[in-house]
Amino acid sequence: MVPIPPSAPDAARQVATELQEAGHLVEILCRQLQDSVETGEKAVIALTNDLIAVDNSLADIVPEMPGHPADVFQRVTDKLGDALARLQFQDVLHQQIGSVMTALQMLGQHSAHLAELLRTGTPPKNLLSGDERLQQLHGSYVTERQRAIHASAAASDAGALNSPRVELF
Amino acid sequence: MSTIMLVDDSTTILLSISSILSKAGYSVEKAPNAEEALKKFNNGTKIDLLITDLNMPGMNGIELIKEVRKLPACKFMPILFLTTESQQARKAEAKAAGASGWIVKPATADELLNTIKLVLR
Repeated sequence: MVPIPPSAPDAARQVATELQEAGHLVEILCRQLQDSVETGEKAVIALTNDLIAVDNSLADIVPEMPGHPADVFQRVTDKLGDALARLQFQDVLHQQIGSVMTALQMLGQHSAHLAELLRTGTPPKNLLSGDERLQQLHGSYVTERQRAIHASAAASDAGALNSPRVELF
Repeated sequence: MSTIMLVDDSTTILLSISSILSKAGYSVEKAPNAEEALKKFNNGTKIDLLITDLNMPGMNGIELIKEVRKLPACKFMPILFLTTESQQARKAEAKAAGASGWIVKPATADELLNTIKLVLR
């Protein structure tokens, strides 16, 4: 932590210190989120492998069963296919958490810049305004839903989530 | 049997989607990034359809398909994006680069298989 000169007014020194501490908290939160992402990803990979194993076992067992319930097998295997497809949620969630982490890192950086401004009285060269940070964050989104939530939180027109899910060119 | 190249940096996507495709009777080549996919194409692996993610570390999906379209064997191969992104500008960029279609994640097994049938016809 950079020492704050005694010449700085007390209030400014206190705010600068608190901003530095906030930046540290942001770093801890980012690590927690990263850990959650990694833990979640491992769990979903294990679940995917389990579902694939169940599907393969069924394919081996069903032909041996009396009456050969092919239609039942087909229905179960279709459901397993649906379940496997639903696991794509993990990738979407991963990217959305990635955006939250980017936002937190920006917040940490912004706190550090403000602390520097309070300490030195001179704005750092790379100090961005709140609006610029928001634009930067908006540019990092990967889903239409994130943009709609951003717009809704910023009280601007959220727009409708009406893009087709499948489109052939 | 058609061979599909699936490119995604998510292990879950590679595992789950390749399982759905294999069950549907397709042969699947998997690549965890664009660079590895490109290596397979350059090595002459015969691919009937490319399904790729858009946002990946390193080369992204659009850069990948621009490179793939340069290969004579892949000039007319269908290419689908399977991505969380649904921004119109990115779709236009993908179309200009030679993509045949766009599927937003999470896609159902039916959405995926029906779209594949359409582009492989």
